[in-house]
Amino acid sequence: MNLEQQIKQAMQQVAELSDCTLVEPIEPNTLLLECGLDSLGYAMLVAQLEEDLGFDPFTELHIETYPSIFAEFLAIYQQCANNQ
Amino acid sequence: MNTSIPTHSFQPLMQEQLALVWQWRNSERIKQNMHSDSPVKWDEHCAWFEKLQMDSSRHFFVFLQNQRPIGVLNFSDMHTATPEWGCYLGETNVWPGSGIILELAALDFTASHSQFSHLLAQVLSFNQAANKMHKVFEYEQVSSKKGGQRNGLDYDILHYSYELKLWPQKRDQILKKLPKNIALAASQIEFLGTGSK
Repeated sequence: MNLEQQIKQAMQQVAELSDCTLVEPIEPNTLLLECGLDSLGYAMLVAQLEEDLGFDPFTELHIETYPSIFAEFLAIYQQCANNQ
Repeated sequence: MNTSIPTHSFQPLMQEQLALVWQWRNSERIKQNMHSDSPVKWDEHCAWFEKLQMDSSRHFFVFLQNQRPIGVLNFSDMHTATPEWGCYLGETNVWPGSGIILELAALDFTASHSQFSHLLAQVLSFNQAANKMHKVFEYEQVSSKKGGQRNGLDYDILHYSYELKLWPQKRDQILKKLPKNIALAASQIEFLGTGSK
């Protein structure tokens, strides 16, 4: 499973846990604030991914501009994975 | 490990931020969860700001993340024991959990003022994110009133209340239920120009 698939799987897990419904499909330009996860769900997603992947770009990287869309979110995880 | 948890502060709305807040308020994402989803004209927005400056019962803060404006937090009925609050994230490229910081800040700010007994909130029934967040923070839903119609569907206005004397004891319990980064960020919330931290 590649990183994008892992992130989408984690999004689905968190959505189920937090009683949210994800928009279908998640596209590269899907706004994170409109993907179906609320603010708590978004924070839970980052925590879930830290558990799954062993890193958290939001604490390990100095991010100038936080991601707004899914493609930017994925890019930050890809950057952090390359630094591991 | 190098950690990059952002700082969060709240600053009273200033003239130079008016256009930004107007743009946020009129965005589809924000309008849809407001009592009125009609666009606000620039003249109306300026008149609202003029009135706000003369009204000490209302506090309107801009939410800054690493000094960057990303949303608003506002309070009304500050002359009573039961102020009411509202908020939104105007920007979409924000730190994960920014909405939770707004929820924490509203309780921190009002609980730090002994004249307030309860913090009130109103949420439209279809705004699932805000309704869920109030439940996570253990607000009591005190009533529900008919709101009208939005996009052809009936909705209610849900009224919430939080007994502020409970907040100092509950704050840590609530933070323990949330992802750990939220607790780290919660230790760096500051209200500027009000004497509250």
